[in-house]
Amino acid sequence: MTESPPIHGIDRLSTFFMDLLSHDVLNNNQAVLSYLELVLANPDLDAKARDYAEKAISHVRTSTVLVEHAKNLMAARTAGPNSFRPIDLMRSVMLAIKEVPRFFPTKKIRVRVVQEPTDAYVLGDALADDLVLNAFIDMVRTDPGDEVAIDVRIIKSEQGSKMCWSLVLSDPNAVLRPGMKSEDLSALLSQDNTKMVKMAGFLFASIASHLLGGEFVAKELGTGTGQGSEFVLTLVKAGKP
Amino acid sequence: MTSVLIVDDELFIVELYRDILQLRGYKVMGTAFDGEEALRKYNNSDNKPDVIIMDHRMPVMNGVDATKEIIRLNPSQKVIFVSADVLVEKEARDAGAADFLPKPFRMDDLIEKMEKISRFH
Repeated sequence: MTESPPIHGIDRLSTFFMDLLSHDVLNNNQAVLSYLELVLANPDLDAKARDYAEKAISHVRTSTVLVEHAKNLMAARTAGPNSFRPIDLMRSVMLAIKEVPRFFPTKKIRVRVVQEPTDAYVLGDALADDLVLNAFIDMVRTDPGDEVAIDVRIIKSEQGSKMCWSLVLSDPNAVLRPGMKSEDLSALLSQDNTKMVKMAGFLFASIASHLLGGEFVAKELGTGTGQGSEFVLTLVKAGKP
Repeated sequence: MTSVLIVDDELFIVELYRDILQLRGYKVMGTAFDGEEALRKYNNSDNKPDVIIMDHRMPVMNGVDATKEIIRLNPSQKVIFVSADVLVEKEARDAGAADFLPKPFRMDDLIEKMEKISRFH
């Protein structure tokens, strides 16, 4: 497992700034969301304009989730690993399956749980929920099709001496853009922000999983067609609370 | 007609709630930009609002403190707490808020909560 990235400048001031920033962004998202709702309430709105407004709402949701995830990540780093409580990984998956279509109103998303253990508890608290939702969102985002099919497995795994659970998301049509494979994430973690464009989700997944003592791997499925991706989120096994 | 007092320090948020609630048939009987102003307006009004929509982070007096004061004056007053800070939910409910909505929310969700509360008013 790779080392957790160094913490740069995480101090009271940056936490305070993040807090203020997220508060203001969410307030602005509130205004955008509500005005779009007003637009959509017009029964005479033509279909194309309605479609645009609905797409804009989905982007407000994405923006909100990005801010909340960043805020939660900052809070978790400040609180430290002793604050992480056990969470049922399957429950996080079910929440994400319910939530993810709201971010992609024009896509048809089918999720098939092919391997589902009982009592797959991991250390992570709310951050694990964020991670799982983030993984689903990024998996759908990397699939260019209008119809997305994702297979989900939760399997036992080991990281050195640690017993873990791994959440595996597979999509035969997803395409990883250059730099999105896990072996390329080092470019992101070296803080070359010219390469971070559109990769905030991946960076979040990588940092948050390391923070929880696990890892996040994004790789090609090796179908030979240039398509097919698999995300593996591994988190440390915890006892049932 | 359900009457509402809107409390938020952001002018654009106050205008937004006011416009939408008026369009949906609610009577916006007042607005306030901090907890202290809300408390003063509440004290000075002969007709109390059916519902107060209360933000948390505001200058002078925050939403939790304002809610505590208002509930102390009138324990049956209905306050719906709205905040971008989900961590404040417990504090808001302990202060006497009848309900909580994290920002951003859909106005239909706010109206549903207002209707639910008004039925028991």
